[in-house]
Amino acid sequence: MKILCVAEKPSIAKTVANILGGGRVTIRNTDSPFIKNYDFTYRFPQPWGEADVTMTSVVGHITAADFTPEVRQWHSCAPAQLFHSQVVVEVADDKKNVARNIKSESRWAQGLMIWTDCDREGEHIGMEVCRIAKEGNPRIIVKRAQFSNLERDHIRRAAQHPREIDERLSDAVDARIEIDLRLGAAFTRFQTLSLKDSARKLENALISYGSCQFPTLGFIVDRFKRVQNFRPEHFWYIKVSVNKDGIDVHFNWKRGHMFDRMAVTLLYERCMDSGSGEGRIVSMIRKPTSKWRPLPLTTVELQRRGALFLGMSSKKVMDIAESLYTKGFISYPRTETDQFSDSMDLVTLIRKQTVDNNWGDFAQNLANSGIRHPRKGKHDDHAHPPIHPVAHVSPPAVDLDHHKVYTLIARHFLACCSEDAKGETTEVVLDWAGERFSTTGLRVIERNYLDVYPYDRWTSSQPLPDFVQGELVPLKRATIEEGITSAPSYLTEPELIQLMDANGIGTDATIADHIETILKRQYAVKVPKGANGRFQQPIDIDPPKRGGGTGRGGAAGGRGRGRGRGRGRGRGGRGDRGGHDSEAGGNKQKGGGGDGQKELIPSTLGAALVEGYDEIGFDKSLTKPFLRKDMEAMMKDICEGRKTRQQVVRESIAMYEEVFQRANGQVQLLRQACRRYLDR
Amino acid sequence: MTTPYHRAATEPQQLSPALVTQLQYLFYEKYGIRPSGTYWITPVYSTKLPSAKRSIAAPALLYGRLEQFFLDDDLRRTIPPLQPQGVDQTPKSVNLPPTRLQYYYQNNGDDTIREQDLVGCVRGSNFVPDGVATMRSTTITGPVTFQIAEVQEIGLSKSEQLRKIEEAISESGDSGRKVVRDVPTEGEHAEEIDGNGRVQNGTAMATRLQFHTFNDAQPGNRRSPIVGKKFCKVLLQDLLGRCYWALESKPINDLEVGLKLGTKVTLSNFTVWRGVIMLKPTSIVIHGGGIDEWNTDFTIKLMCWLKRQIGLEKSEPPPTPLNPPPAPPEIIGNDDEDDDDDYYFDDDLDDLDFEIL
Repeated sequence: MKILCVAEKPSIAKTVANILGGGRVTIRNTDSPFIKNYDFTYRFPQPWGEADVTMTSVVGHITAADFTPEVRQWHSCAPAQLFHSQVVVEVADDKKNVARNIKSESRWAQGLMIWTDCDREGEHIGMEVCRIAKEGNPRIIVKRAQFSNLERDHIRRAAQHPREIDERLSDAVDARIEIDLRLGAAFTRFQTLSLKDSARKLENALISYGSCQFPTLGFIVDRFKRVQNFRPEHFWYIKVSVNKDGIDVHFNWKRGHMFDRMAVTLLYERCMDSGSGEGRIVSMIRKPTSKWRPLPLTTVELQRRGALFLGMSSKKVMDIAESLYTKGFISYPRTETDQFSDSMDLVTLIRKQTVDNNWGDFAQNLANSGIRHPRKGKHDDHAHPPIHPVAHVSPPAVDLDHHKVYTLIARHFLACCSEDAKGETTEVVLDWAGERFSTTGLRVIERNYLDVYPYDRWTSSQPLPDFVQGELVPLKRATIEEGITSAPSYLTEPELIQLMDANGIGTDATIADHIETILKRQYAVKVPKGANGRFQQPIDIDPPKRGGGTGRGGAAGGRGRGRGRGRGRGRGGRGDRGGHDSEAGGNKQKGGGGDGQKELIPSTLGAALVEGYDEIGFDKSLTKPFLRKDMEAMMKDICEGRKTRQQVVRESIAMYEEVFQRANGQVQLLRQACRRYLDR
Repeated sequence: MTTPYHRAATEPQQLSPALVTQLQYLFYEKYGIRPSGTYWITPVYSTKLPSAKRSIAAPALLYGRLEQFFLDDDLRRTIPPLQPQGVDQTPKSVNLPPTRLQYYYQNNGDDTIREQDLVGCVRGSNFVPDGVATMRSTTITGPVTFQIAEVQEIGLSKSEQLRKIEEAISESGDSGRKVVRDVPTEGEHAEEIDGNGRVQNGTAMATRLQFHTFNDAQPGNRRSPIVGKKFCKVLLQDLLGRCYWALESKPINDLEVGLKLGTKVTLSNFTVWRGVIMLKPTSIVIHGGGIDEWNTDFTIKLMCWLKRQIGLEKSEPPPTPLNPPPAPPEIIGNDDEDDDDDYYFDDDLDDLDFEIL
């Protein structure tokens, strides 16, 4: 019996081979410099049983979709034709040797076990492998291993309990690839060719389009314009303070503040006219409160928190997480799940952290004193658990950045398994001649999870004196204060991630790539934080040059390892603002300096495109998230068997074609917008 | 009792022509209409604010402090300029005796009255007695009937109001779907005042607010709440055409931007503070009604006005044929003959049954 196993990446093939082969593994080279074949023996469940195994891998997708050669040139056809031109799927030129290896290895195998990552994209790669293998050996029997981390026991269990491959997931990816290719090519050619005369800068520019990039850019421009249009406004409010037991207590007006000086002055005068320099304590209420431990970590939250707490770009956080996963330190980092299943052995995972110098003692206590099962979020992708550490690692085994991300994941996991922080709030309400004022105090009683999660901050306020209900207290001060509204800040990457997630743009796994893409396309620029109002206008930079060759352009609406999961998810962040101070002796991170704390400013081209498309006034604008969200919903329909791939491609293309025709008809609005911004 | 304080309060103030103009243009600017009656608004005395950080030591000092409050130019700019200018148009017809008017409103009966301009349509005695404007504070038992000429939201910044309207509009455009534009800022509450007395404005509200479908043509008396409701300042007009600012001293549910202009209300047992009426739920009855002409293109006009107020847009609304722009207002001179207490009543009014309350 010979069984062929195929993983998605060489590093995973190596790790899995070593686990299953128990260290007795022979390595063979292949045509590809990256790919090795690992031979060993392993006992699979029946009917396969004891088998000679060859474990190999691919490097991402093997095939690529493209138009037929006659329409591949920029001017070869009208852009609109690309919505219906023939698309061919072939083994990509640079993947020929990969395909050859699989074909030849499958020739003598009775079984094929797919070990690609367990998500939609992985399923698609699995189907590609499957088709190629069947070309070499049509009778080969295909199974699929279900795994979500590279921990030894988990991998062995996966090998013992294979499932069938799910073609619907693969179909959804096929649909996405085709839609993205057609849209990207058609709109990119349309934009590039019709705008090249509207500004000198655009003569040779490549103005690429992607169905995720544009809504993403839309968010950046929307926020930018709000900052640009912001005008400060004055407001007034009444503030009183009393002194009791030697403590100054400031009370805030229950009405908040008002943007009308007359109103505040009159209300103030009325209070003063009451003749009373005393306030009456209406109530003093103490309530237990708690600061909740975080929800289990999803991909989006990892990216957001990484950007926020570690100051790294979301792309970098993902790359590092990917590499930590490949090395077997953390579970699969692409997941939407924010709940741990009850059956998971969390204590064992916690015990692995007890050796750590910084949080080892905490983990030890947690493991000994019994854990509290983590909070359960509302999402479950039924494929992967939340991101968690599976093995302990510390420098110098990994470099500093890797360790930072690992630290976040490990601490987050331990925090999830701890108790909420407990405290007590006190609210005192004071009445001064009919106007109500209040003040609150917080006393932190048990820090609990906060001890292991320094990113969250929750500290006691100054203690409040004891007031008695009905008590009259002399006012020490009662003044009208003036304030002025401040502009919203430009969009930061963590905020953008949340917006994209909430609006269903991209998926947990591709969000970081889309942000990267619009930066690469020079539609937006990252600037250091604190730029408030510094940019009166979008930043003028040169757009990327258009290559001579194919007019396929920015078909990258999420290609390559782009995933096709769509699920809008508005998650209300519970107040957990990040502190940047690590524990004593730990690695002090510098606050605010990193990439994640930068703000995003549109370029002139970015702003012009968004404004132009907005002026065209579609029922569903390209710069708004709706079209893309609908498309993502259709992908899900394929996965769950409600629609076929062909149906979805047809509907999606029709949707976008309508938009395209409209844009084409009113292209002068786009041109004018470009002229406004670029030819100054 | 006459304290120095009271004397100060009753002294008439000089107003610059520019300020008078500003007031007279209020309606034209915002709604492009010229309601009948002359718009004068009871004076609000500008008061100088105490320096921000000064504390008050004892109540006895309060009055002394307040005295310094008067005639602050800065404050005048924020308050519509206010000075009794007399009524140049007296009610031309007597449609109803005063008691019947009250009866009609209270029984919610006669829609024809509710839908008309109070000024010039009804002649009666239930208006605010003169003189209240010059008193620091007085209580009027009423009842007095008014029409609501203007509602302003002063608990929210104008930018915030504008943003909500714009979002409501774009939401109704994109098949009723809403883009999530903001995410809650962690650990910060929107519009919370930070240490420097600044407000983090406009970044975090949207996700928590429920918007109603936006529709200007919605039938009925009220539009959907379009800017949210915190604290309103309204302009009430009595049947002589005199306008008074009013503030909610306690929140009143139905009073919000979007309430149909011209809505009729009756107040009783209310306090007037320096000419500003203090509203409480217990002292107001809202009869509904409204004047259609005042409400055409309400939202568009409101948006333009908000934009101009914060300096986003300079242009005036285009005059429509129905509502030509008012001539540059004449400053109604009261320098000479009209300078006594009764100057705003001419002989026609003498036979009216005044209830001085």
